[in-house]
This record gives sequence, C-alpha cells and structure tokens, in this order.
Amino acid sequence: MRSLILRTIAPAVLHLTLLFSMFLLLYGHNQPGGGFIAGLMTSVGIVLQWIAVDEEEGRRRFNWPYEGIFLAGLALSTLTGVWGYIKGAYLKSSIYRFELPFIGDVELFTAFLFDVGVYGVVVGVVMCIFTNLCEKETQES
Amino acid sequence: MSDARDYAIITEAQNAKPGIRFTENHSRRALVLDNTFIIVFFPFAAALIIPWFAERFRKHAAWFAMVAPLVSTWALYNLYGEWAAGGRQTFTRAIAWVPAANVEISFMVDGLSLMWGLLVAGMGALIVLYSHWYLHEHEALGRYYGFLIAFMGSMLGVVFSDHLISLFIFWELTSITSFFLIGFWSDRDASNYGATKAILITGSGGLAMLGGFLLLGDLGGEWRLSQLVLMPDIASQVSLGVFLLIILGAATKSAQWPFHIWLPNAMEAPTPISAFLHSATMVKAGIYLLSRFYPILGAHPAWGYVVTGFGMTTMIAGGLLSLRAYDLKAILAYGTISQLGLIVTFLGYGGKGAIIGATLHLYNHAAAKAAMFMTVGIIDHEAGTRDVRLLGNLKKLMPRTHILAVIAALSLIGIPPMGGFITKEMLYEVSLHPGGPGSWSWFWPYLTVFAGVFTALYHLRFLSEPYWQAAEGEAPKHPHDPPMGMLAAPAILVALALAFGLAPGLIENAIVAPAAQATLGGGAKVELHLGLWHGINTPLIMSVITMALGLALYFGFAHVKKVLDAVATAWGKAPAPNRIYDGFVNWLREGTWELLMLIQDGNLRRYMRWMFVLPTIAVLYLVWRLDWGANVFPQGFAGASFLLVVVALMIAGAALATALFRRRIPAILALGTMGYGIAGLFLLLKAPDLALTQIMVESASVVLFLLVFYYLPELKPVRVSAAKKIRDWGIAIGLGVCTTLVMAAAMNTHQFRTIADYFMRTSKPVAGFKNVVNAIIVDYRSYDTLGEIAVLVIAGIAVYALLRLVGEMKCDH
Repeated sequence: MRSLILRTIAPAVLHLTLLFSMFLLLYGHNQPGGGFIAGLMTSVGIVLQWIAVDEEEGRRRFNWPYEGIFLAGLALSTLTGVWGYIKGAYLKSSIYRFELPFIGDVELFTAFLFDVGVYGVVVGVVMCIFTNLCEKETQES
Repeated sequence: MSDARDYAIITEAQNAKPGIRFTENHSRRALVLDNTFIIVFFPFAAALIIPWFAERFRKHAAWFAMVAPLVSTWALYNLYGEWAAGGRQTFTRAIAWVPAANVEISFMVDGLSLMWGLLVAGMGALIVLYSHWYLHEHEALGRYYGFLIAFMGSMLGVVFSDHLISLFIFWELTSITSFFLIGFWSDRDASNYGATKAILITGSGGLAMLGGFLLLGDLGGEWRLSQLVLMPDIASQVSLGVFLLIILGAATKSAQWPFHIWLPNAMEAPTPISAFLHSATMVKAGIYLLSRFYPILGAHPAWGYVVTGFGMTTMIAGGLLSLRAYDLKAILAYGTISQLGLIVTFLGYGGKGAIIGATLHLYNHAAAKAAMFMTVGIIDHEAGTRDVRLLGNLKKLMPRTHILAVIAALSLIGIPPMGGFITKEMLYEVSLHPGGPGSWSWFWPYLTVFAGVFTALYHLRFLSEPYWQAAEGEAPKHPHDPPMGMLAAPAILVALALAFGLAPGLIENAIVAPAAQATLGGGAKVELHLGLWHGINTPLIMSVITMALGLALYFGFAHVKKVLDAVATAWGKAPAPNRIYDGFVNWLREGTWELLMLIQDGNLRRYMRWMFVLPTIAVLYLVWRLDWGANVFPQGFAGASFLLVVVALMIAGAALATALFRRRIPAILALGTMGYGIAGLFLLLKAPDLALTQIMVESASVVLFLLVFYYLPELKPVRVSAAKKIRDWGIAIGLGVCTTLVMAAAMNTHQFRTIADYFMRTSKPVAGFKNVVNAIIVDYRSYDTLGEIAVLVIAGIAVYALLRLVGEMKCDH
C-alpha cells in the first residue's frame, strides 16, 4: 500500500478534503452539503491518509477519541432539540440574526448545531469502525 | 346502630360540584418550578447522578440518595399547603407532551394523591436510612440507590398522574425499576427468577390495563382522571371486557390470587427493597388504582363481584400459605398478600364505611409491615438466615429488635394502644353496617373476624418461632442487636404506629379523611373522630372473639399445621398458579427457540433468501391486484436520454460482474463501480446532494469492505446443484424485477398531492435554509434524523464492542 505517489499527494489532499468538508458543513444550508456528507468527506479524507502513510504513523497522527466524538455529536444534537423545546417544540429550529464587527450580518440556526452533531456522529462512527478494524489487522498479521 | 360512637363518620352531601381548577396555560418555566413537577421529576434527575456520588463516596452513599426523598417530601409539604389554602379543592397541572395524540404529562392534586405521596416519599427517606446500615460497602451501591430513587419517582408519578397515559407510563416504570431492584443480587439464580417473574406478571397486567385505558379514554372522549370522575354515567357504558382489563392491572400489581405468586419470589430482593416495594408502596399501587377508579367504575355492575371476589380469595389463600412458610420474609410476604386481599375486599364492597376503613388500614399496614420487614432484615443481617427453624431465643439475644417486632406485630394484630387497634375496630364497625349493596351484609362480620384470626395467628407465629421458642437448628452466625442506627428506621415506623393509636387526631382529618373523600368522589364530605376507647360495643366484642380464637389456634398450632399439610398433600400435583406460570414460561422459551431456529439458524444465505423472497411475494401480490400496465409504465421509457441509458447499462454490467467474479477484490471493485454509476445517475437526474453522498458512501464502504474481508475465510468454489442454481437465479431475477416495478410505480402514480411545493416555499422562512434537502434532514424531519444518528451510534458501539470482545476472547484461548 505504500505507493510513493500516494504518499506524496496524500498530505496535500488532506487539507483540501478537510477544507472542502468544512465548506460542505458550513454551506449546507444554502447549497448542496450538510453534516452527513461533510462527515463522510472528513472520514474518507482521514482514511486516505491512513492508507497512504505507515500504519504506526497513521495511528500516531489520527488517534483521536472517536468514541467520544460520536457520543458528543449525539449529545449535541439531542441538546439542540431541548433548546427548541424550550422555545416551542422539540427540535424546532430557531433563527438568530446579529451583526458582528468586520464580518457583517450573521445568521445562526439551531438546526445548524444539530447538523454539527450529525457531522460528529458520522465522523466518529466511521472512524471508530475503521480504526478498530485496522487495529485487528495489525495485531494479527 | 346508633350507639355512642365518637368516631362516627360524619358525612354530608356537598351539593356543589367539586371544583376543578384546570390550569393549562402555565408557562413551561413556571411548571419546572411547580411543586408537583419537583415531587415527581426531582427523583428521576437525582437518580441519574446519585450512582456517581454513591460509587465515589461509598461510606456515605445513603446520604446522597437521601436528598431525593427529602426534597420530594419538602415539595409535598409545600403542595399540601397550597392545596389547603385553596380550600382543599382538586386541581391539576398539565404540560403538553404529544399534542398531536392529545397526550400530556399532567398531575392531579387531591386528598388521595397527597396521602399516597406522603406515604411514598416519607417511606423512601426511611428506607434509604435503613439501607445505609443494611448494605455492605462493597456492593453495587450506585445501581442500588439509583434504581431505588428512580422507583420512588415512578411511584410518585403513578399517584399524581392525571392523564391515563402518563399514569400507565409511570406504572410500568415502577415494574421496570422493581425488576432491577429484585434482581439486585444478579449472581443468584433465585433473584433472577424472582425479578423475571415479577416483571412478566405485573408487566402483562400493566399491558392489559393500557388496553383498558385506551378503550376507556376512547369511550369517554376524555383522558384525564380528574374529568372522568365528573362523568357520572360512564360506569354504565363501560363494557365488561374494558372493566376487567383495568382490574387486571390492579390485581397483578397488588398480588391478588392467582397473580400473587410473584410476591414471595420477589423476596429475593434486599430487605429494604422488600419493605419499600413489597409491603408499603408498589404492591399497593393496585389498591391506589382501585381507589382512584372507585368513583369512575365503582357503579359498574361487575365491580362488587370481581373486586370483592379477588380480595376474598386472596385474603384466605394468603393467610393459609403464610402458615406453611418457614422463611420469615415469606411469612411476611403471604401475610402482606392476605392483608392486601382484605383491603381489596373492602374496596370491592364499597360504600363510605368500607372506603374509610380501607384507607385507614392501608396507612397503618404500610407503617407496621415495613417495620416488620426491617426487623427481619436485621435478623438476616445479624444471624445470617431467615429460616425460622434455625432461629430461636432471639428475645434474649436481640432484645431491642424484639421490642420493635412485637410492637409492630401487635399493631397489625390490633392490640391497643397501637394504631392497628383503631383500624381493626373501624373495619369491624363498618362490617356491621357496610352501607353498600345489602344482600351480603350478614356475611360481612364473619369474614372480617376470620381475616382477623388469621392475621393474629401468623403474626404470633412470626413472633414466637424466632423470638420466643428455642431453635431447631443452628444459625450460621451468633445473632446480637445491630447498631442503633439500623434500628432507627423501624423505630420511627413503630413510633408512628403507636402515635396513630394514642393521638389519631394528628392525621385523621388532615390526611386520611381527604383521601377517603377523594376515593368516594361525587362531593362526599368525610370527617373522622377516632379514638381508642369507645366503651363496650359490638366491635370490641368481635375483637375479643378474634383474640380468643387466634390464641386458641396458636396454642394448637401443631394440629393446625397437620391439617394444612394434609390439604397440601391432597392438592398434590393439581394445577397451582406457580406450576402454570413455570409451564407457560418454559413453553414460551422453548417455542421461541424453535421458531428462531426455523427462521434464523445462522446461515447467511438462508437469511438473504427470506429477505428477498418475502418482498417479492408481496410485490407479486400487488401486481396481481392492480392494473399495472396503466399505472406503472404509462409512457414507457420515453423520457430516458442516451447518456442515462449508457450509465444504466454500465450499472447493470457492474452488478453482473460483481455476482460472477470468483475472487473477492475484483468483486468489491465491481461493486464500487456500480455505486459510482449510481452516483452518476443522480448527477444526470440533477440531485447533487445525493450524488455527493453516494460517492462518499461508496468510497468509505469500499475501504471498509476491504478491511472486513481480511477476516473472512478464503473464497472457495462450491459445487452447487443445477436445481439450486436455478432457484437462486430465480430469486435474484424476481427481486430485481419486483424492485424495478415498485420504483416505476412510485414514479408514475400520483395518488396524493406532493408536499414538495410546501417544502420549497417554507424552507427559508421556517428553517432558515435555502437547501431544501438539508432543511428536511435537520428541521422538518429532524426526529427521523435524530433516530438515525442514534442508530448509527448504537451500530458504532456494537462494532466496537464486537471487535474488542472477539479480540479478548482470542487472547484468552
């Protein structure tokens, strides 16, 4: 798997994929995108790195607490719903508009936070499965 | 009967309708701080964090748990004040829960719910206090206190619920929490058996009750108890089936014969749990339900026969079984069953006197019986056994415990000056002129005396065999009195039983009378004047007769025992409730296993066959029923562009290749090609979101597939007979054709107006999203999404656990 081309290109691609996934997440409300796709994009980006580099190095660089990430994501989505509940109905989106210096008008939706939770769950679960499968492979080979 | 009874029941018909203040328009924030909500939900909130504290500070676990009952009691005290200040009128607090289904979490405050609330919360505090001394430091304290407090919250929810559905939910929560409490020592088979039995029996009863509630709510068009009470003719409209369903819930929970069998097995629970759940509160939930439904269904023609029938059978069966038990807790359990039967009998008979008697007895029984359970717990703790044959002379060895046990038992037998004397006199009094339907009234005093004699007999046995007589065997430990703290909780209960006898004025009109009034419903007004001494009158003579008979039977107990044993032998192998239960559960277990082996035998191919063949049959059925030529392909393939056809052919080719490749890696790659082809299809059909998702999913799954295949054995060519090949091809082609038909039909039939326009129009103003697809995911259908990510998390945890566990198992071998 240690192809030279892959190893050279992968780091450059990593930043692109992460940037693009952030773009998908942030722009999901007006353009194609959203938490689910962004989460998959991020995971695939990381998986690509993992495959490109050395097994140990991959673990060193991407050994994040994925179980924690997906639990936190689920918690965030659920709690966002509670905010909506206080405002009217569970999971109802509330819209907030305010002005920030230098940036201008900003719109915030609680639905966006919900989407961030979805993003966390997708990244967490895919990576959790991936890392665990990988670990087995290295242990036994 | 107009002799000078200064505890005469003064009842006045109150012509005015009992006022219902229905306050629905509370803001949510105000409701969170409302007393009723604190009473019920604070314990649940506390139950979530108590385990953490209990595990961390093991020596002081009980004091953290104690906060919950104290807060609930404090809120009850405030609520009581609120209720008294409002002229003791019933009022409700409601919060919409599922407005679409007209379900709400609503609480009703009246005399009955307040009395029960005080009973549950007050008893909860004492039980926690007792548990501190009872449990060892190394036990699973977090689990214990967490479930105990959650149970208390559920029970408080039951007694305060106004809406039938929330009543049902809290009701089932008591069953579930009690399951975990009974099975607390989960390494013992008997605990697991007892816990399963309890949840199966009370759970099935609860489901029957739910059915009854749904039908009743549908019939009355009203789901709130506070409103149902005001519908005087509802009882005459309720069918026998609905009535029986509701009564079944009460009968299973309150351990009425033949559903009583779970209670003795539930004695495997730690003793504080038995004292709390199985004598003072949960088993009395059925009695609460009957009291609550008395004003609603009391006028039903079957009420008297069914409820009284349950009560009497239970009372007699419980009394007899208690005499044959050797385990102290079993003696108490059967005694409790018998006493519950007595209370149910009175509720079934109805009328003012009977209801007041039942309410009083309930209170007194809760205090005294819980105290007795606690003394048994002390004996168990100190002597290491509860078998009366191994215990003896405890009077000298445990003098303090002995005093508490004697006072509690005498209170239940009904000896002055204990509270039990008053309630028993009360029961005798009402049995003389019950005030209900008249035809059975001659029978009533005899029955009550009979119950009294049995009560005296098994309580005397409870005292004499461990405390007074010499032991037949040897106890595992040399018993002695426990630390004073362990005696505190039973001492408080015994003091209450004494106080109720000496100064009944403390609670008679503040707590008991309003509860009886609420049970009677219809604006009845109850005032009580209780006292110990009323001169020589018929109830007193009945008491004396009871005592004489009880003592006579006690001294001739050897003969009684012989008769009972002879009856038991004669009964032999006849179908007893326990045998029926065990037979049924075994049949269910084996039958389920056989059915499972028929469908899911672990062969992946067979699973796939089921999953493919069944939908195919379903679709073929539809094809046969509908005119498909007109509905499915009205335009044929006229709209397909050239590019679309090319991509479609590519997908079909890749699919065929996936099936035909002999090695795995090419097959996975072919599968991937198919996936990317579908993504291309989405792009051509102008669905960029879907296309993007499809590409991502495909990339991730190809990688995961490659990793998973590492675990699978080498793919070997299997020789398959021609017939099987034809069958498999048939299944595959059939499913493909059927799926195509369904998709085509879905595209081409427009039976309903599409809601796409609504989404397009409102996504920006409502959700703030211009991307409608995403607006649907995170706003309109956010419940679905929440469910899906929850499933995803569960899948993640499952895969994690599976891989870790497999790894560990491999390491072990």
